[in-house]
Amino acid sequence: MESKSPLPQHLSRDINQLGLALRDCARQLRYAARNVPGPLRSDRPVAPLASSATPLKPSPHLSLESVAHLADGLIETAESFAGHAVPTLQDHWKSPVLLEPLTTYLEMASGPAKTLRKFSMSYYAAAKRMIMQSGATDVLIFEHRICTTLERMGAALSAPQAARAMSSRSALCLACAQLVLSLLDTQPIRSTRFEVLPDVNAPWWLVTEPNAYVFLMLSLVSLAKDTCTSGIPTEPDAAVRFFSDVVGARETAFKQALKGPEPLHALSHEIEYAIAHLC
Amino acid sequence: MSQPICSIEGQEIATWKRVQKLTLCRQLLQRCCDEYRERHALPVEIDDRNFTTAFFAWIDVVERSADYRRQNEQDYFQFVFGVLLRDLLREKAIHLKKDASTQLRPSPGNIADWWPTGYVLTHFCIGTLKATLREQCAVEVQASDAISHPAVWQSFRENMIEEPGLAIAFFDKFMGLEPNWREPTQINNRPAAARRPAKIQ
Repeated sequence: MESKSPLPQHLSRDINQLGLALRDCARQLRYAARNVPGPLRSDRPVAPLASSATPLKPSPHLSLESVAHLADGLIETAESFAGHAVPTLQDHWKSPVLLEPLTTYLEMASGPAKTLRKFSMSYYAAAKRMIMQSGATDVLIFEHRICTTLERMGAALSAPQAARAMSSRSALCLACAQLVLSLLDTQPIRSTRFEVLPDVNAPWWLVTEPNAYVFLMLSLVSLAKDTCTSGIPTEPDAAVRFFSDVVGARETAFKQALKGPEPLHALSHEIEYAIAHLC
Repeated sequence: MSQPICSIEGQEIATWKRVQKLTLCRQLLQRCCDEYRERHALPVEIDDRNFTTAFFAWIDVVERSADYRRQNEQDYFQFVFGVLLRDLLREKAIHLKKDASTQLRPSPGNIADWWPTGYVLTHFCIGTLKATLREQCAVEVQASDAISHPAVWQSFRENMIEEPGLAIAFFDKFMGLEPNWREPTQINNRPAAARRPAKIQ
């Protein structure tokens, strides 16, 4: 089974990637500290975390409190380390997150790492905000996996291909489907915690497959900025609610497309069908 | 009887095109809700989530039934707007604003106050059907007398709860057509389909 460790295997050459990886590592620790069952202030040994949930091997004497302190310390370290290269760690999700048109992100795909960060930061914050606003008590998302997705897409697209992707509605829908499937491959949303059923149109889909629901919805928001110039809500939270309703209403069709033999074309077709009936 | 709500005048974009777009269809329905509120002092509002679900369920039927349009265009529109009524009612696409139900003074003869959501949605579908037939088929149609009979509405409301598909049959009745009460959702079994066999090209 794949490790949930946020450390990318290709940890790279790139200071931005390293900063993101550290940040995700800190987020993972923070998430574990918040969500491992048991009283936070306890001298009892920590119950071992699920083996796939963390790369850490907590010593029997490590209390949850000390894990939380460790997480705080790591966040500070990561922040100061990455601070020179990337914007400071902020809770971007606490404010409405304005997504750019899909064409803007596709242009970024072939740009430098700092440009890619704009994409991953927006998607990370928008995904977290959407999930938290639908009633989650916590969520763990690896931002570097979002960043890697667009980076890979940029590497895979030649310049003429990228230009073609932006030339028509069909081509844009195909690029949108490609982005969604790439995000599903990397599974940036690692865990969500809902104590009540989420307040969305397809609550069980969000609970069981948060990556599919959330990244399909965010990519539609972004795509619609290119294809529907009027009629769609412009306020970011209202736009997310609007598309969350659309994705929920088309749940069966989207799921069939994703699980069929040719998901790229099926998903692209479904996306175009939905977009064509919006405005 | 007062002037019906939801009359749709000619617009730059054809009504049929507008109702097939989620945001434009919602605008038309919102206008009906506003008109109802002005006339009856009762606030009816759209539930966006339920409306979206109903809309896409309806669009699927519109696409699946496209062949019938070549066979009998006027009855095709009659059927799909009946389906729209069914889906909007089934999904509860509109509702009375909270606390507004205390303002209701329903009396058997006053259909608009007795069943506000059914009244608004039925007149919305009648309004869009009339405008579509005028624009697409150059045909003017009017609702039948049944639209003003409280007993028909009572039966409509009661039967809808158990079998939402009957909304299609009641919609036919309201438009003066012979309904298929047994299989209202089967487009091929519509009385009009039996009378006008398909033209084979």
